[in-house]
Parts: sequence; C-alpha cells; structure tokens
Amino acid sequence: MPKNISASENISKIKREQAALYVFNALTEPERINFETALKSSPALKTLVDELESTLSLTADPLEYTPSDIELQGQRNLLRGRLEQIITQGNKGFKSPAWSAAGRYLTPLFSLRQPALVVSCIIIAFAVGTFVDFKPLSTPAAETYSSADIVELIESGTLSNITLEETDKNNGGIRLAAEKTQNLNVSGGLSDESIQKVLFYLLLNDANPGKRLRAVELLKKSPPGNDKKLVLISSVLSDSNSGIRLKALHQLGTFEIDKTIREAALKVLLEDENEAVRMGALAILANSPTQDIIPALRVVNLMDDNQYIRDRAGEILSEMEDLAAADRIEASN
Amino acid sequence: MKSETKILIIEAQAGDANAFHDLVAMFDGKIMTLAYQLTQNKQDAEDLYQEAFIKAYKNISKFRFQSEFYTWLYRITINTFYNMKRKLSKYHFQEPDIKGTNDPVSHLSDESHNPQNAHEIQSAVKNAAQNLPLKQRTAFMLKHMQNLKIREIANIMDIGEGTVKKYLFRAMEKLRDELKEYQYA
Repeated sequence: MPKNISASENISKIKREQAALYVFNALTEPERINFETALKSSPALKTLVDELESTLSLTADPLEYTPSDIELQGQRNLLRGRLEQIITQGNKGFKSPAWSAAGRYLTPLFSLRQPALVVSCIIIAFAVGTFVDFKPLSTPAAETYSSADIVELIESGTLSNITLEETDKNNGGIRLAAEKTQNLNVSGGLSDESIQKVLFYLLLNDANPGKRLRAVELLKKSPPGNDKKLVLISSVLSDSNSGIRLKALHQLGTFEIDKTIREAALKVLLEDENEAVRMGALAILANSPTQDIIPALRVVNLMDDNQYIRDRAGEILSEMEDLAAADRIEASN
Repeated sequence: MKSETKILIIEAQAGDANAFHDLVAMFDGKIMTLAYQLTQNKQDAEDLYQEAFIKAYKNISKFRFQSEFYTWLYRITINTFYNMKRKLSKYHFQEPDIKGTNDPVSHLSDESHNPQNAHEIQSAVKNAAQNLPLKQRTAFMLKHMQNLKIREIANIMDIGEGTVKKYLFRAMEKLRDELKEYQYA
C-alpha cells in the first residue's frame, strides 16, 4: 500500500527543493551535511525523501534504453546515404554550409601563426615553385591541352570550380574537371608528373580547403619524390587548415626522415597552434631521433600547453639518453 | 578529450566525411539513448538521431574544443528535439512505446488488473515523463538517466545551474505526484 504522502505537504519549498536535489546527489557538500542534519530531526522530511527515492527507482527501468548494434548500424548506413546526398548537392552548385563555416573559422588561424614561420613558408613555397615547371601530359586528354596550358588557365582564373575524381583506385588514375567557356576534362595517372604538378598547385594555392584536402589525399597515392616532399613541407608549414596540415604531415612521415623534414617537424612542434599537428610532428621526430632535436624536445617537455605532448617529449628524451648510455658502454667494451 | 577523437574532429572539420562517420560510430549509442529518452518513441528517436547528426555534420567547423565533443552533440540533439516539437503540426510525434500495449488480449489477463502490473507501471512512468514540460524532461533525463553533473547539464542546455536545479525540482514534484499510486511497488 502506498504510504500517506500528505505528511510532506507542510514542508517548506526550500526544503522540498533540497530534498529533490538530495536524491539526485546534486547538493554541495555543506548543503548535504545541513540537509542530513535536518533529515534526522524531521520525520516528514524523511517521508518525502523516501517518496522521491521510490519515484526515482520506479522511473529508472522504464526509461532505460540501450540501442542494439544492428539498430545503430542501420541508422549509420542511412546517415551515410543522406550525407552523401548533401555532399553531392554541395558540389553541384552551392557551397555547403560546412565548408563556408570551416573557411570562416579556419582563416583567422593563419593570421595567428608566427611571422618567422610565414617567412619560411614563403621561401619554401618559392623553392617549390621553381621545380613546378609543367610539361605536356603523358596521356593526352580528349581536348588537347598541355598541363602548362592548364596551370596557366587556373592561374589566370579562366578555369574555375576545379574538381578531382579518382577514376582508377588500384592504378591511381584521376580525372580533373574544371569549368571554362567549354567544359574541360583531363585524365591521367597519379604517376604522371604533370598530374602531380597540378595537384601540387592545387594543394598550395586553391582557396577551397576541400580541394586542398582532396589534392593532399590523392598525393598519398603518388610516388614519393623530392618535389612532393617539398610541397608537403610547404603545406605543413603554411596551410591555414589544421586537418590538411595533419594529412600532409602524416605523408611526410612516410618519407625517409632527412634534415629538411626534421627541421620542418621541429618548426611545427614548436610553433603550430594545433595539438594534433604538434603530436604528428613529435611522432616524426621520435622515429628519427638525432642529437640536434634535444634542445627543442627539452623546451617542449617544459613548455608545451598539452600534458600528453610534454610527457611524450620527456619519454623521447629519456629513450635517447638510454640509447646514448648503451652506446657509451658498448664503446668502452 | 582523447587525442584520437581530436584528430577525427579536425579531419572532419577539413571536410573528411569518413572521419565524421568514425565520430558518429564513437558517439551514436549515447545519442540514440538520449533521443529515445527525450521522445519515448523509437520512430521519433531515429528521426531525431538522423537530424541531429546531419546538423552536427553541417556545423562541425563551429566546434572549438571548448567542451567535450559528446556535450556538443547532446546540445545539438536537444535543440533539434525542441525544434521538432515546435513544428509539431508538421511533425507528428508518436505516442510512447509501451511494451505489450499492442496486445489486444493483454487487458483480459488477471494480472493487468493489478495496479502494480509491470506494463501498467511502465506505461504510467512513460506517460508521466512525456507530460513533463520539455525543459524539465530534458534536465531530468540528463541527470537521472545520463548521470551528468549539474554544471554539464547547464552547459548543454545553455542555462544557469540554478535554473537546472529548479527544473529538476519541478520535474520531481510532478513525477512524485503522478506516480504516487505506484510508489513502493
């Protein structure tokens, strides 16, 4: 039989409120101590708390819900389809809100970067520019344009709305499409030097972060080379979008770590405002530890805003010291 | 926030749809549970899940790492739920799902006349929860079912902590009143 609840009706509103928060465990420590003192001396308050606790326990099971994996997978598939539709619509004409918002959010980040870093980027980008001289496509397109023509058309603004499509995932075939007075389509493989150079150009120059991201993703499948390395370094040091910087950095990690990559990684580690990008740079340095990175690691170990990065820098330093000690023992033997 | 989550968010912000789907897979169990607790109906919960994640996708660039990612998703889910309710004339919310209530002979069993019958209690609790005003229901679900702190609830609902406490108090008063018949069941 339910207890008589009228006993609690004479309790003040403040006490009733405290009783509700008490059963939710939402009182502060002093409030809880005071309330429990009052509880001991008031049977009506005790009855109210019992009723509230009973109500809470009554509601727990009927309101509990745990979706099954199958249900969630079905919803994920549906969501994937709906988002693909949204993305396709975005590519067909209007700019998707996500992109325009990303642009608004990410652009100010660039201005926060260190001036020294920006100067280095410009120098590296200039150096890269000297390598990017375009030769005719090895696989001619239906319309006979040389890649030099294409880049010239992009630079002059004659071509717009450039899109990249992967036509052969296994062999790295891509199609580049752009809007002109007439449509222009160029096909080729990712190993084609001229196609790579168009991708380099887009990664370093296109204002749309989506296209820069597509370019960096496609470059992942192209063969490694010095030009590619320099373009990726330039992107890591200069792109305003941290996601693109991170992707470029991951690709740099697949190269043999030389002095140029190490110096770029050190700059990123010391100056990039994004923690994930700094972590990526630290991973590159950890894979190729040399004595010249020790001062920077010490600074990071003490000064980085992120606890994980500080700790990881400390671990790398310790590992380096252990290796050095082991080498000394081996040499003395 | 885990670094893995952070990296996925950054990649999603750069337009990587696969990274966004990885984030969905990390958090959608919580979101579906919350959606069901708010709507008390599976069909509506699924609609809310879809709309909330589409909104999250469109707005992910606005996420600035100032809160946990799931808190941000909760806020989107709750705001989407409020919008859906506001468009009630266009968007018809279903009655709460009550197990066994569709059974045409269930009322004939002797058990169903017992006020402590599990189905009856379940039905009463769900109706009582549905009858709570939206903000009281939200605060109650976030506190009681999701075990969040008052500060987190205030952040998600974009209100003061004192207001959250008021909502919880009022929700408890109403539930106690509506369910007094079943107390100590």
